[in-house]
Amino acid sequence: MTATQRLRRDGVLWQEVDGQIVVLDADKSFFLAVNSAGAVLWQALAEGCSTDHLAEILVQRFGIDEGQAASDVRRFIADLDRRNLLEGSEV
Amino acid sequence: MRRHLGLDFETERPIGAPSLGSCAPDVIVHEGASATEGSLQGVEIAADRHLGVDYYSIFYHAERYTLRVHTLCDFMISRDGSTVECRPVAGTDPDVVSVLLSGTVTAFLWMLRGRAVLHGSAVLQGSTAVALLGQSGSGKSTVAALCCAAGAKVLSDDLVVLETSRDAVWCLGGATELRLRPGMRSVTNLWPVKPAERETGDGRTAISAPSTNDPADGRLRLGVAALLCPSPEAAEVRLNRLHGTDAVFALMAQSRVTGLCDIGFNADLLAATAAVARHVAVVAIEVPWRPPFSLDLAGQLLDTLGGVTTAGAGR
Repeated sequence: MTATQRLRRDGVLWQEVDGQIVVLDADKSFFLAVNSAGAVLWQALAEGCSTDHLAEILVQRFGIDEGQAASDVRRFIADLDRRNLLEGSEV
Repeated sequence: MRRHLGLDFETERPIGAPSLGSCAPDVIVHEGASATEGSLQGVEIAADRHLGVDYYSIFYHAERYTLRVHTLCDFMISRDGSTVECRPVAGTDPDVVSVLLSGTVTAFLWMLRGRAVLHGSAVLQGSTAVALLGQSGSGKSTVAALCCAAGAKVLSDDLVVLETSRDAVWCLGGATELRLRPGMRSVTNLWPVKPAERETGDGRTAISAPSTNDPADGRLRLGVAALLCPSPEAAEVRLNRLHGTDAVFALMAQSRVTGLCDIGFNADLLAATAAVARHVAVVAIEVPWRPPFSLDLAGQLLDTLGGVTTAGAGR
């Protein structure tokens, strides 16, 4: 079982537009654009999702192989974590 | 009582148009003592700074906001935006205070009511509102006047107040004037009838513009949000459609109150601009900028914008 990741809820605002996401981190006063592939992960992370399941979503949605999907998810999660946009919990 | 962009003001200041109704005012304007420019206390809500120069600041402290236009006037605004106390710096031209009240202060009063306000003018083309957006000096009022020369009617000048619903965006109307910069008033030579003019406190000429009195609630569905790019080199009017996050970022940069650092106001702005990007055609429009302007250019502008509204916002 992999860790469940969830977007930080306090001080982070976002809107979906045309399959993309606009994010405002009010604490740090920065805006972020998330592309359509990242938007799929973002929506799942808003609810809370394991990294395994995030990779499955990418495989199903974009038809990429599992290794590539796992790698993409790791990079995306690391990027969000670096920007302090996640709160995490072990399952 | 005077009505300005959907708000009834109880004030002696000449903003908007005399209100015919006898209902309770939305905003009561008091005249206070002169401002002394002491340091502002409390939480900073917004700060408009360019190249190290402070233009205005908004702070929240002790259940009210102070909107300070540096060196000119403090406006003390109640938390719910129902009262405004004007405290001009000694020597400030009263007409300047009126311009500030009808501009930045009115924008903030609408923000306190949960609306996002963009910097721009709006005209009615057919039955659809077109927002002409841009920073100061980008030609918003001049382009609105050009559109009027080609048959459009003015809805608002300087402020575009947005209202959103689940599947549409509306903007408030009610303006009867456009404020033109020196050198741009000749655009009214293109109008079929020479408009009445008056000078404003900020050195511009306010011209009476063809306006609409309908619908009764003064709001119209927004069909196009056009970001103005005046260009001396451009040979013709050209459009570039913006989508998704590009559209949202471009629109957020047009907030009438700039330098927002309050999460609630930023949330309103993000939600409203995202709604515009979803339901309205967002375009950057390059306008040949070689005054004096021609009626051909006016027609070209309105035809181009009308083409977008006819095509709709569907993507």
